[in-house]
Amino acid sequence: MRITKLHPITYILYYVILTVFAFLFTNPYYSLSLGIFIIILIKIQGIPKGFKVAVKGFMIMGISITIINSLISYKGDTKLLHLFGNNFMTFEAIMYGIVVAFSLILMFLVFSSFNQVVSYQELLYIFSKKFPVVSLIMIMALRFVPMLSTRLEEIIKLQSFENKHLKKGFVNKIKGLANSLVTMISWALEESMITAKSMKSRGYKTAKRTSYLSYKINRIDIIFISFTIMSSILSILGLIYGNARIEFYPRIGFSFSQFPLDIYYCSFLLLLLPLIYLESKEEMVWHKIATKNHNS
Amino acid sequence: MSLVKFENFSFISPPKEILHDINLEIEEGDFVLFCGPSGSGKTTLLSHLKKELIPVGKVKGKVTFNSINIKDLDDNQSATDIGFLFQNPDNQLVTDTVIQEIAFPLENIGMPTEDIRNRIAEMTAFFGIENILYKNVNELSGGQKQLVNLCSLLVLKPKLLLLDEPTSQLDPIASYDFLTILRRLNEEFSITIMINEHSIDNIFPFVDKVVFLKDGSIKYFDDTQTTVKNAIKDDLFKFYLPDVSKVNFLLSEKYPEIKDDEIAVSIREGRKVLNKIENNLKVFPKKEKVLLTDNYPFFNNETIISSSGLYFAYAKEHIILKDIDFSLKQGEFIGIIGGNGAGKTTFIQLLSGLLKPIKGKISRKNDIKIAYLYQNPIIHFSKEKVVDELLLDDEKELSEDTKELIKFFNIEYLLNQNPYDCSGGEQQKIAIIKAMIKKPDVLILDEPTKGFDPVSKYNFAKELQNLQSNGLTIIITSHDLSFVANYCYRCIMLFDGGIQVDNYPKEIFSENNFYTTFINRLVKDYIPDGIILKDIKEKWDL
Repeated sequence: MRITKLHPITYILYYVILTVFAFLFTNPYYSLSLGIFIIILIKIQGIPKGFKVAVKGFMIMGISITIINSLISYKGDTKLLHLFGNNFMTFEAIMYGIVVAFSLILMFLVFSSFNQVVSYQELLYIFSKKFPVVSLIMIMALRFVPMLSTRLEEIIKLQSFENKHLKKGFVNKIKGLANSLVTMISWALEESMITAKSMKSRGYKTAKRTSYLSYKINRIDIIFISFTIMSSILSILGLIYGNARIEFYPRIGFSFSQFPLDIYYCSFLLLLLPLIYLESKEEMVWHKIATKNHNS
Repeated sequence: MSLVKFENFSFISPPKEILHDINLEIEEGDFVLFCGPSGSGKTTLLSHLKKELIPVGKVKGKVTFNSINIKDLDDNQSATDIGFLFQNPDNQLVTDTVIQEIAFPLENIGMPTEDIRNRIAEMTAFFGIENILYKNVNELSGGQKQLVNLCSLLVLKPKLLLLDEPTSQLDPIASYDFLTILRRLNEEFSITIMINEHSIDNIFPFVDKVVFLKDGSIKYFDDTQTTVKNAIKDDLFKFYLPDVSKVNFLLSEKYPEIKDDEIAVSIREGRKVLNKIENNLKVFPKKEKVLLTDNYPFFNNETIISSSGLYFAYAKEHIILKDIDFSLKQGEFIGIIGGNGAGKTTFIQLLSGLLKPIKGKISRKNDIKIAYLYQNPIIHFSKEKVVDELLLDDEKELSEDTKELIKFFNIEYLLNQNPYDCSGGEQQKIAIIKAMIKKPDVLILDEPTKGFDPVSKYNFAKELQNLQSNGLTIIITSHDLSFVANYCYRCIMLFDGGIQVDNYPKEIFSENNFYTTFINRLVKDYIPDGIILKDIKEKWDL
């Protein structure tokens, strides 16, 4: 449970902007700032389950993107290595690969942070206004998929117990798996008939569906959204007039000595701040309570 | 005016007549119990009161609710005024969290958010389930699931509740809690309740009226007292009475002074009857405790499975079984009892080899064949016809042995059906035959009598005993204490992940005060080790 509550639409808007920006702003100063910011944010929000594994996966993906890009893209002036024919591995292609990989990792980080603050119920709430049936199906899937997977595990356990005397072989294995799937599916179908009856008998489709959830747009949402929109517009102007985006081909238009200290970069940094502010405020409340409990 | 009325009602689902000439009137506020063998038409009868669930077939006569023909009720009224609870707690759940599930019907009828939240607040307070509102339904126990299902009907403020064997999948404590809530709803809000139920001992004290159904017709319908008195003379329905009433009848045949009194249906009433004739009743002293080793016939036999220091867990925080030592002799019939989460299923899965212990050793005799049956027999089926399920891998036709088993369990008539279309009891038998054709030495059954009616349960027990006398070793887990008391030789009570007691059922139940059979609770002060009807008949010479 959290005490900082923004309307889900506010969160969605904010995180969508961050995701898009992670991809558009290729200037390393911008992406690094975004990276630092998002890591701080995740740290405050609490590191989600399975996060480390996922980060590792994305790292490996990032490295492979870099390698593949350097092998198949031959644009760029700074030739490093002769590959074949007229094709060279270029410095620009490597750098471009690194930047793309980095923005992908950024997008993943933004998404994990989003998952921490917006529950799927809130997401579906936004969704259900426009697509009530689709959102219901998603809720049902959320219940059925884990149930089916535990069942399948149980069925496979039983099958391997019953057929342990059988010769193991590829064909037998496939046969066994097919049998397990048949059992699972017919079981699920059989039960879904009862589920359908249960839905029907509880008035499904008698009227237009409503929702038990309600979220109000508060003053804080208005302030948050206006702040976000203003700083985003300024940052986008930075894309057009400033140097938030860099060119790679034929030659990289960036050097680390050009620190982009202008209004655009400042507004980009500002864009990153409000959520950190809100989250650390929340964290402080909990920290205070925890120390109080600890002392008493 | 009656709330529900069946007039000359018949229902034919070709080629069979499921319900025949039903005439039934139920007043508002009645709590009516429907009893009868599986396939007697109980569920069909209830389904005809719920417009959305009316089965396909030919109908004669009519059914009305508040004088309106059920078929003419408008959708909204049918959804809100009449609630239907199904047998299996799992498959009637639609969504993922408790609060979403309870809100589901209200969202369906298009109620504004504010009102939905009011109704949920009110209902969850009544049920005391506020603390599980945001839980995932998959994490709940069976009893909690069924409560959530009931709650999700009650938010609609129904006038009539139809319940189709709602507690058949629950353990005794959970089912008693569930029935108690029904009783409150009936008494405090005058909600009319019609219920199909097999746990007769628990429900009889609560109901006003009882309907006995057989082959689609009503055999008896009256208030509880009258029906009980009629049913005791009936060869079939005498099985469908609470144990307390059976004892009461036996006593009133012998002692004329209570002949014309009311028949007891609850322990409290039963005790009063005993008090009245106290001077005539012989009181037996408490016996010395007997241990399993003293004269246990199986201890000379060969040990076929033994374990020492077994541990099992899925996570460090929750160790399910701790330090279990156990040995199984050939030819035993063991009942394993214990509360929910005591580790019964895990224990038998470890014995069978479905699970591996995380610590400790299990040794099984060489070449021993173990058959394991799940609580839900469906998991064992993957074919379209029962007969295909019963063929071994390389067989084209049923072998003689299989045919004999089919005859033994009396299911010849099912061979060409789809296993999914069979009733729970029939599925259980098919699964057992399927296990038996591999000629196992040990048969392990997880809750085999769940959802059985009393007569099927009796027949099933006889069949198991027959198999046992042919040398089969049987282990069952059960919540049905009376079943264990009647038919098992040895009983193991699990508690807190360990074997708490391992002894004769008689010893265990006569030691217990609460976790024991209804008969024992009734006669404890007179016959401390009387745990089944037979004991009482013998001791009091009835």
